[in-house]
Amino acid sequence: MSKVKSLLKNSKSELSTVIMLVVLCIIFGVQSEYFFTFRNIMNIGTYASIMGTMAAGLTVAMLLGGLDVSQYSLAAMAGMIMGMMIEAGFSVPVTLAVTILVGILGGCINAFIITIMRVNPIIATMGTQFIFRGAAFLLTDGRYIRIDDPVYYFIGNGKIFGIPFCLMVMLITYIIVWYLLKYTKYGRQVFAVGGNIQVAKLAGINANRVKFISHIIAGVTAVMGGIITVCQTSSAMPNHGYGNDMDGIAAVILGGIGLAGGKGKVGGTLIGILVLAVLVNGMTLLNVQAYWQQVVKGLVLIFAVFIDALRSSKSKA
Amino acid sequence: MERSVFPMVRSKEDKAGERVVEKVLEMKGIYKAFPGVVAVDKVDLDLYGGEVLALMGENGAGKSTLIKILSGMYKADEGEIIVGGKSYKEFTTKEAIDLGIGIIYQELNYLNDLTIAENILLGQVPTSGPLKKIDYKNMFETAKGIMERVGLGYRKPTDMVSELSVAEKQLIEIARAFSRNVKILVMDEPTSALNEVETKKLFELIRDIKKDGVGVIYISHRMEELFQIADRVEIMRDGKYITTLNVKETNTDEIVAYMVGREVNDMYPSRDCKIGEVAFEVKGLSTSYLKDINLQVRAGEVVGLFGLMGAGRSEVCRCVVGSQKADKGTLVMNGQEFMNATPLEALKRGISYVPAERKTEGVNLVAPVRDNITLSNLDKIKRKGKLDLKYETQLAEEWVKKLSVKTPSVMTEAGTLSGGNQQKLVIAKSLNTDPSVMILNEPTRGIDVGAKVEIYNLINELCSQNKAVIMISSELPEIMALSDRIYVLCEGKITGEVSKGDYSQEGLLKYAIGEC
Repeated sequence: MSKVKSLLKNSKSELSTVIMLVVLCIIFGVQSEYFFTFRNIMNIGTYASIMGTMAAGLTVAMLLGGLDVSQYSLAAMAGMIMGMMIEAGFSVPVTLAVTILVGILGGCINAFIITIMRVNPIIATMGTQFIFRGAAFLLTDGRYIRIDDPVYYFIGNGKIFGIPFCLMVMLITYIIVWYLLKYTKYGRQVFAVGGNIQVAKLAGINANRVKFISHIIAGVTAVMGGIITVCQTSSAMPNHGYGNDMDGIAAVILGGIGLAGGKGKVGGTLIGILVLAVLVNGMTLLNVQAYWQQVVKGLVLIFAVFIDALRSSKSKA
Repeated sequence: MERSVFPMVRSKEDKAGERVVEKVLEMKGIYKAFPGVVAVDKVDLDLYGGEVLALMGENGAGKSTLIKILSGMYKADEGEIIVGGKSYKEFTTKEAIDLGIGIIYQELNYLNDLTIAENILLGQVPTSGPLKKIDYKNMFETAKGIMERVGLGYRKPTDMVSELSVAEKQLIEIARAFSRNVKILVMDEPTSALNEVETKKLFELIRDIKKDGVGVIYISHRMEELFQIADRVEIMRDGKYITTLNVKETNTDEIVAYMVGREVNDMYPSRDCKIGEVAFEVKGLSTSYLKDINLQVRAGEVVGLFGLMGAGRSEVCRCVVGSQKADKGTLVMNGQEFMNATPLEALKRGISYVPAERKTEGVNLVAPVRDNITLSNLDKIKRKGKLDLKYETQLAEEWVKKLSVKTPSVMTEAGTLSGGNQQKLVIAKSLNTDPSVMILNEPTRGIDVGAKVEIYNLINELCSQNKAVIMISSELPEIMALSDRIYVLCEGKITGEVSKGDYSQEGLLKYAIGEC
């Protein structure tokens, strides 16, 4: 046990989550012969694609030391607008463009409240979480919209060379966010603002601009998740993602980015997402009741942060 | 529970009715070292009941540390403290309060959203019953009595502290000390936020307190106050006890001489640079605090900004580098007049700033060394719209080598480096913007001697590259050795400008305390 402890202590923050992922895969692989089949792995990918895409953007907001708990509500609202446009007969490109625009707007609203009105990010996005969700219901008075269109069906369920299209969307999102964070001036500024906003400002960085862009990215990835949800379920529902609001945050934290921000990698978030997806998939395969799945998710999250605390107490000593 | 309204110790009176002065506090051989620095070195302090003892010394002389030991916040490594005839090696803050030691800090401690009464009786609110229910009637009555004592009688104990002026808040602090049966009252720069009328009132109150036999330790940088209120003055320098004088038998010059009194040694490398044209000028800079600041700095010249804490030196810097808005004033560079609205503008114009607060303004502790160095000039490492990480690493390695930063690699987290090395990162970051004007605010604060000398050498090198340097320092020997010219600030105004040949520590200090 002490060996395990010291291994955990000395690992990088993503590494402990990687170990957790491997351990989970081994457990589920031993328990269920179906787990390691190609089809099941693609299932995991499809399941992960929605929250994964959203968490990629959330990572940016959290690196700033902020938070966005409004993502799932914004996704639902954008999904409703998308559904209404499809109903009204708008073409696919126009519909998707407008939906993405809703994401940009939603991100702008969050950023405005956080930077200009100076409301704490948690409270600001908690407020917009209610507002966007309410708006999603108000748009159709709570009515669902069925969508029957091969293009949208493909976005949600289609495959290219056996790989789900939505999984590709997610992976491309991660590559873009990874590139932004690593190779652009903006990305470097995100880390600076998250690490120490005072230092960043004195270095000539416009912190508000950085926050605006970051929340727009969180908003756009949120509606991308919304679009995939609508396409996967062939319906726009105002209660999409209800109760999942914290999944993305859990994944980012599992990926090694603390609430303080300034440090971490988007690749860590991807691993965090995989941990959550594998957990849900494996437990479903093992017929674990959905309620228990929630309990286990919570335990895994706390365990991961506990390991983090162990590590930082070691580095301080 | 019965509680007296003025629970103060009165000096004993002998049979003839004459007051016998008793020693209320004796600190003997107090020694306290922090890693790398001896803050207080075998200091003695005697305090008699009914007197005001002024404690004087430059910034960093060890006054605050001594007071923190008295408050119980720090433990002395050596020495004893005798209070009420009993000797203590150390005590906790709670025990200090119980011993009758009351301390009023420069930063006032009050809870804005509570009533005056609650603030005064903080931590000793009268209660009744097993549930410790607050006895409001008793609390308000007790508070009212103390408030009258300190001259707050016109207020209601139920008033909120948030409604009070700064001076009134200060009185709350004094009232709190009274409520705790205080025998020794320490006041650290109590008048820094008060106007003249309020200061006068405070002095009347202090004279009142003296009559009750309380011993007062009074810390202030304002020399004239000392002659108004103090009976004796104890002077400290570099953590050591220097002397104690009767205020009636001394004068400003003598006190300043004792405060300074040291030789400038050869810690400061010499410099021989050609001083060129005026490179940078501040004209008529004013804010709500600063009044009409004018200064010039030439290419190849180091200009010092000296002043005591709160004189406005940092505010001048912040206005110049655009992190604070000035009400009035312009900056002049290469014949162009402008004012920087943002730090980015300042950087683009070639003005670079090394802030005083390393951990809060200088270094991003969670980022690698490399990212810290390049942060202020990311455009320099941009190639075709993309950050060239290879070049960035190379650049950072060059700076690390040039400034001899001790770090395992440029990817090491900055927070793991020592203070001196962190400071070098901040300077490297600043130099990486290729500035023509460098503003260094306390560039050697809190770093060891070796690193200091390296930074002095660096400043000299900047001069030989024809850069204009503005340096702020609270250390007189340092600023005198490095500057070609010194501007002295006092309470938001420039009170003196002295050229290298005419430096004297006494002269500079006099300007700094507004004596001229």
